Order: sequence, then structure tokens, then C-alpha cells
Amino acid sequence: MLRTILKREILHNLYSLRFLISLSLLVGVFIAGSFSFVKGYDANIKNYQESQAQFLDEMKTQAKESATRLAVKQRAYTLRPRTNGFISDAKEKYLPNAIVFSAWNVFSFQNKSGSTNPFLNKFDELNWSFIVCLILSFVALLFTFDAVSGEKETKTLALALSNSVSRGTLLFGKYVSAILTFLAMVLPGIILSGLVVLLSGRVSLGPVFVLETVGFLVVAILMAAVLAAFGLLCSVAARNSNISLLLALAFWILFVVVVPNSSTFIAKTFFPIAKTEAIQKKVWAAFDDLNKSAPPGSWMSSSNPFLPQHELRANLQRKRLEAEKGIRDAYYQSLFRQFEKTRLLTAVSPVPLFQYLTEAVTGGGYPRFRKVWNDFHVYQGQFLAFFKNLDAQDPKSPHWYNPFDIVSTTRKPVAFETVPQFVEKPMTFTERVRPILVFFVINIVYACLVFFLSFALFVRYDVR
Amino acid sequence: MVLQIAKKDFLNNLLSARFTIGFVLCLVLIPFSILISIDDYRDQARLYQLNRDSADQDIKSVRVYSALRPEVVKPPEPLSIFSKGISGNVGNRVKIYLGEKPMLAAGKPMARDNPYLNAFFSIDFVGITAIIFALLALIFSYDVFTREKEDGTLRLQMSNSLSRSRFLAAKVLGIFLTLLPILLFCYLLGAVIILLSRNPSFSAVEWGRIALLFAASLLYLAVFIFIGLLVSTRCKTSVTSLIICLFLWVFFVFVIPNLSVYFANSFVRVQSRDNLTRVIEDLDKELRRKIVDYFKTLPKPDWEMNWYYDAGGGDGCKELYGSSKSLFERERLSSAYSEPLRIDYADKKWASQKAYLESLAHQQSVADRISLISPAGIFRGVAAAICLSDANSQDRFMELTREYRETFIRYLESKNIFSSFRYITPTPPYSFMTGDEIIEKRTGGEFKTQKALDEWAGRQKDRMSSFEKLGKVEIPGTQPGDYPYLDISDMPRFHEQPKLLFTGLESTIVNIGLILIECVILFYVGFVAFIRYDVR
Repeated sequence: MLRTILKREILHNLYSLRFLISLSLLVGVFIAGSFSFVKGYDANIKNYQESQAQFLDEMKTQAKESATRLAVKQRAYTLRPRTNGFISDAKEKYLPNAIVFSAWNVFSFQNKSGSTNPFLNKFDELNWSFIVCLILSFVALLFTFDAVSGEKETKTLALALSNSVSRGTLLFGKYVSAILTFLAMVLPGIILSGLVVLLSGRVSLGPVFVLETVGFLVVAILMAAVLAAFGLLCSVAARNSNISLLLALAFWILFVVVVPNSSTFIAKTFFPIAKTEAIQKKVWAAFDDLNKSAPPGSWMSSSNPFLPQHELRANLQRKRLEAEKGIRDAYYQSLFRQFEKTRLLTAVSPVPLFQYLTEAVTGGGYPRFRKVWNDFHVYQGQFLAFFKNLDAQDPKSPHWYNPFDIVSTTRKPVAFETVPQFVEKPMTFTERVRPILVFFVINIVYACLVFFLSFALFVRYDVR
Repeated sequence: MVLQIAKKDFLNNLLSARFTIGFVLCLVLIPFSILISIDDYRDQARLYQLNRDSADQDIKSVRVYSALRPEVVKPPEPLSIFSKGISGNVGNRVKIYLGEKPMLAAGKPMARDNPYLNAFFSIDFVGITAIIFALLALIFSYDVFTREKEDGTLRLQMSNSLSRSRFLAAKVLGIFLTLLPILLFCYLLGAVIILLSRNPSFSAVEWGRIALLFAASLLYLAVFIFIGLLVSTRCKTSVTSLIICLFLWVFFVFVIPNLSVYFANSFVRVQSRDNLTRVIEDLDKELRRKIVDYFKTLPKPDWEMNWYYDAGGGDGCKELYGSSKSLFERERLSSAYSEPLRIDYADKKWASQKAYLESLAHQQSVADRISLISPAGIFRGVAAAICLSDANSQDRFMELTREYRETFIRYLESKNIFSSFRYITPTPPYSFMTGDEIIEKRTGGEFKTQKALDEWAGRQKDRMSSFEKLGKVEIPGTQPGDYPYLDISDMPRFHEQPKLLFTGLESTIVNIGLILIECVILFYVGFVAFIRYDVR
């Protein structure tokens, strides 16, 4: 019986006007988005390559001058644009995309100036994720809001239930058919968009592409499952389809507009953090304390590397670095926690929930940045060990390690090829899945709960 | 008759579920958006206060003109509570340098302490209004004719001596009568929340601009009502009309505003910021080289030591104390040469900076032009201009800071300050001493000349021991603390352009005209379609 219901519902959906309009809109937006991605990606890669070449040139120049210059210079490493940005950009253009480091410390992160045009309003890229979040979430509700109340109005609901079919089976059939219709709409768009991107030559057809596409479809279906369940809930909660529609639209506005746009307010209200000015004052206070307790002559300088005061200054500068690092690293952890807790709270809406899941599919966004941030700390340790080893081999160096000065460690040049370089490793399956496991569970539970609620209401629904 | 039909429709709508749900949505979302925006505004105001205090403190605590570099801090715009525009993307601080013209404001956008929160978007009153009222207008107009046709009442109405145009006018009036109170209620609610919150307090001009925003909202509402009417005249059933209206809503309100910016971002390239930075760095290197070359041609001083020297501020900042007369003179000559050259180089840099800014502005204008496809895009643009949070307002502010820089330079030049000792030291020239005189005084007469001191130091194990001898007797007037801060009461201050009712709205006249034309065309097409409508 379920098969009959499914067949009837799917055919009903496929022949409807809303399917035709949705499909046309979706295919148009998918193709337009893909062409835009190809065009934008070329420019982004060109900018990145220029910036990377400049980064390496500077390193080479400093390596030629001296190993110490190379070690103490603070520079910003920029993250490479992802080739799978057509699936989801994961808002990377607004997230920090550069890490400031030297051999002595990973200092901070920043959103590199010029990443976005400040005169443009904030925008989402027209990628698969955006299309699913905006249009398909709407369509998922549109295909289910009158599944029960609409049939009641046309009097076919009573007729359907006069057969030997349970209410559970009927509702489940409508639910699954809505999800399958959703799939029938999203698949052509994804195939066409994939073709555009593949034919452009920016992406190659390989197992990664296939797996990411399948992964995306799975998380898109999960989102559709929650929204379709909400659509059914609206349908069984109202006596006529007009009210169901208004309820569904209210839910959609809540999920797509209100919750995602309230995230900053949620973060500031529920998970407050210290102000940056307060942290800066803390750092200055720590510096003052260290300066006061430093032996006299700690700031004396001359071109003579063996000037005894240089050792005092090196000690003081290392202590200052450690003090600042302690304060700032603790602050960065509080920023991460605030962001993560806010994401968890906004997962009350299936749309942000879906966005967080796509980060795992594409290996981008916040989890990617956290991985690079952590990997950079490992790299910085290697870089420092490399520098200390070089310095130890130089008999002309006093070996007074100063993270900011160039006077009292080796002044010999270093072969650039031997200098350790940071290479971003792609996220492994475990690294992608672990941070979003909680969102995955929330999604499944959410869909089941809302469907169960719809079922509970439908059991008591007056079909006449 | 027209009024009777309008009244009937109004009462019908008033009792409908769509009115209740629409009203509840406004009741929840409008205060929510206003409260969030007020909270954001207060954060920005707090940051503004901190930045302004710090800028005031900095400018008051300088002793030489080379360190005098005022900072302009832009106050947050109270009207941004209604429409944030691009105010969240740009900074609020502009430091006035001789060596560079102001290009983009610095500072923390949106007063957010956590940069990760930039990944979250936020919505304002205008955003909510654009979404809700477009939806309400379509929901109330999609079935104006189709529903009556389905119920059979349309035929009945047309059988009376009522012209179709009058009937259409009555229907439009009915919808306006239904939606106008909700729109008015939203604005009043927003105004009451702002009045109750007391911070910010709005001036008469700002309330006037809110009235303009209300007028723009009315036009926006009208466009969507006419779209709904048009769809209703072209569809046979209410369901078809509803589905088309809802898709148009999503397309116009969500897809186009986003698509316009994304297309402009992808297809219109802006110059690379890294390239611009490189060009500026190269020019800076060239400038430094010229200054160093000139410096080498200057006569060497008799004693190369400053008792206090600070050049930490950059941009030609030099603060000297306790130097010899010849060293002061060399630094004075150096500044007299370097500072006018620095100003010339700012003009050279500006050529590249301007090209970069123009590429940003071009990209933004393309996005604006694409967004004209959607009434929501036009409305948001107009609203941002009314609330002074659009790109033009920011551009005007930056232009004023550039003009202020010119005024500031003229102020310095009027004092002939670059070739004056006051540019580098507050020490009066009559108190300058030769190197030998300084050494004799500082060593308490133990050494008469620099040569004698150097010979003695050369015999010591610790070469730094000569500093101990020089520290024996302190000479008054050789430390910054010995001098008062500069009197800058005559320095020109930055003044923002006075805010008038129509300031900055020149560029939006075309957009407002477009909405009006859209209204007229949509209404006319809807009218023609209804004239030919088969009411059976």
C-alpha cells in the first residue's frame, strides 16, 4: 500500500505547477551560480597566487640576509581558495583567512584586507548550499503544507482513509514522497552545475568529487526531511490549507531569516566574552610588570652582538612574548568557544544545521580554519627548532634568543630550500566528521521528533 | 460603491487568519530587529567614545608638530538602527597623515570583539519590512479576482452598474486599508521603542528621514500589491496565483538581492589590494631613498648624540631633545626637505589608491544596477541612502576627511612649520649648545671636549662607561617632560557635513522614480488585464 501511496503522491507532485516553477528556478540558479563560481574562482586563485609569490619572495630575501631575520619576522599565511567552493563557500570570505606567525609564535588570525569589497552588502555565494538553504527549504515546505489539509478540502482524504490504509502509512507515504520530489528537483540542478564546473576544467572528476557530491545530497536530504516534517506538522495543525500555508511561511521565515540573522545577538547575549580593549590592557599591564622587574639596562642596544645587556633584553622579550601569548591564546579559546556555542544554539533551525553539515562535506569553513590553526602551532615548533639548530651551529652567535631582535643570534644566511614550509593538509574523513557529529545527531532526532508530532496530531485529525 | 466594496474587503481581511498571522509576525519581528539594532548601536557608540577619547588624548599630548597627526572618528549613525546598509563593513577611524591620503576608514566594523561572528549575518528593520510586507502584499492580493471568481461573487458584482475600473480601485483600496495600519503600526512600534530606550535620541531631521522611509515603504508595498493583482488577473485559480506569487516573493526578495552582489563580485574584478600595497610600499621606498640621499649631503653635526629621540609615530615624526645645535640644524634641514616631498608622494600614491577605490565603487554600482530588477533591491538601496548607511554616505565622509587633510596641511604650511625647529623639538633655538658645551656641562666640567671624552672612554673596558659620565649633571630642557604640550587651539578641526532632511538623497531620485514607474506600469497592465478578464 505504501508503494501505491508513494507513486500517487510523487506523480501528483511531479505534475503540479509548483514542481515546474521550482525546477525552472532551481536549474536556472544552479547554472548561473556555477558560471559565476568559475569566473570568480579564477580571479580568487590569481590573487592568491600573487599573494603567495610575494610571501615566498619575502621569505627568500630574509633567508638570504640572515636566519635570524627570517625567524623573527612576523608574516601572514593566507589560506588557499577551495576548489569545491561551488558546493559551499562556508562563509570563508568573512571568516579569518590568514594566520600571523614567526618562528617564535603563532600570533593571531585575521581577515586579510581586500578579501571583500567593503562597499558591497554582505552576500551569500550562489552555490549549492545557498540554493538548498533558500530555495529548496522553501520548496520542501511548499510541497507538504497542504498534504493533509489540502486533501481534506478536496475531500480525497476521507476517501483515501476509507481504504485499508493506516494513518501512519498514509502520512509516511506523503512524507517520503515529498523528500523524493525534493531529490527529483535537486538532482538535475546538481548534475548540470557539476557539468559546468567539470567542463570548465577547474575541477576534475575523481572519487573526491563524487564523494563530496553524494555527501552533499545526503545532508540536503536530511535538511529536507526536517522541513518536510515541519510542512506536514503545519498541514495537520490546521483545518484548512490557507492557514497551513501561513504557518509554513512563518516557520520558513523563522528558520531562514530570524534564527540565522540573530546569531550575533545570541552570541553577545548568552555567551559574552571579554572586550578586546580589556585584553589589550591586560597585555600592557603584564608588560609593565615585566619591565619593572627587569634588571637595569635591559633595553640597551648596540650593534655589538655580545653586549651583555643584549642577554637581559632577550630574556625580557621572551618573558613578554610568553606573557602575551598566554593572555591572547586564552582569549582566542574564548572566541572559539563563543562561536561554537552559538552554532550549537542556532542549530534549532534546520538551515544553519544544514550549513554546518556541509562544512564537513566540503572540508571548509570553521573546522578547516581550526585545523589549520592547530597545525600551524605544530609547524611553528618545527620552524623554531630548525632556527635554534642553525643558531647552535654558529660559533659567532651569542645564542641569546630574542623573539623580536636580530642582534644576538646567528647572522648567517640560510638556504631557503632547507627552511620548513607550512603546507595545508586536506581534512581527513575523521577530521571532517568529528566536529559535526553532534549536528548530524540533532538533525536525525529533529526530523524524527517533528514527524512523530505530526503523526500524533494526524491520528486525532478530523478528516471530514 | 467603491468605498462600500473597499470597506467590505477591509473587514473581510481584518477577520482573516492571514491578517492575524501577518500582524503577529510584525509584532514579534519588528521589536526584535529594533532591539538588536539598538544593542548594536550602543556597542558602536561605546567604541566611538573610546576611540574619540583616545584620539583626543593623543592629539593633546604632543610636543612637536611632526607628531601632530589628528585622527577623525566617525560617530555611529542613529538611523542605521533602521537600515544598517554597509555600515557594518567599514571602519570608523581615519588618521590624517602627510604621506598618504585617507582611502578607507580603519577600525573594528560592527564593534564585534569576535571576528568569527562576521560569518553570521544580521537583519535590520528595513530587511524585515522588505520581507514581511512583500509577503503580506502578495498574500492579500493573489486571490483578489480568482477567489471571487471561484466563489461566483465576481460575476454577481459585475452584474451591477459598477465599472471594472471602479471595482479594481475598490479592491486596491481595500488591500491598502488592510495593510496600511500594519505598516503604520510597525513604524510606530519602532519609534516607541527608540523613544523609550532614550539612547540613541533622534533629532527632528532624523524623524523626518524616518517619515521619508515610511513613504518609501508605502511605494514598496504598492509595487507588491500591484504584482499580486496582476498575477491574480492572469491566473485561472487561486492556487496557481498563490504559487506564482510565492515564487516571485522568493525570487525578488531573496534571490535577486543576493544574486546581484554575487554576480558583480564574480564578473566585475576589483584591483588586487596586495598590488596596491606593493605599489605604495615601492613609492615609500623611493621616498625614503630620496630622503636618505639628501640627508647624506647635509653637513655632519659636531656631536651625533640625542639625549632623547623618538621617531615611533612614522610619517616624518621626529622628537629630539638635548642634541647639539648642529644636529638640530641637520634634522631641521632634513624635515624641511622631506615633508613637502612626503606630501608630493601622497599625491603619487593617490593615483593608485583612487584607481583601487574606483574599481570597488564600480563593482558596487554594477551590483546596484542588477538589483534594480527587484523592487526589494531598489527599496533596500533607497532605505540605506535615507538612513545614511549606503556607500555614497561613506564616500562623502572619506571625501571630507581628504579635504580636512588638505586644510590641516595648509594649517602647517601657514606656520612655515616644516622648516622650523618647532617641527622636531620644543627646545628654543637660543638654548642650543655645541657638542663640547653639552659634554662639559653634563660631565660637570670633567671633560671639556668630545675628543677628551672619547679618548678617556677608549681606555675603559666598558665602552658604555662614557654614558655614566654624561649622566653626571642633568641639563634642564633636555627631556620631553621639561616642556608643555603644544597649544593646538588654532588647529582646524574636522566637521561632519550637517545632516539635512534630503542630504545624500540625490542619487536615489532615479531609484524612487523607478519604483513609481514600476507602480504605474504594473497597475496599468493589471488594469488592462482585468478589463479583459473573463469573470465567468
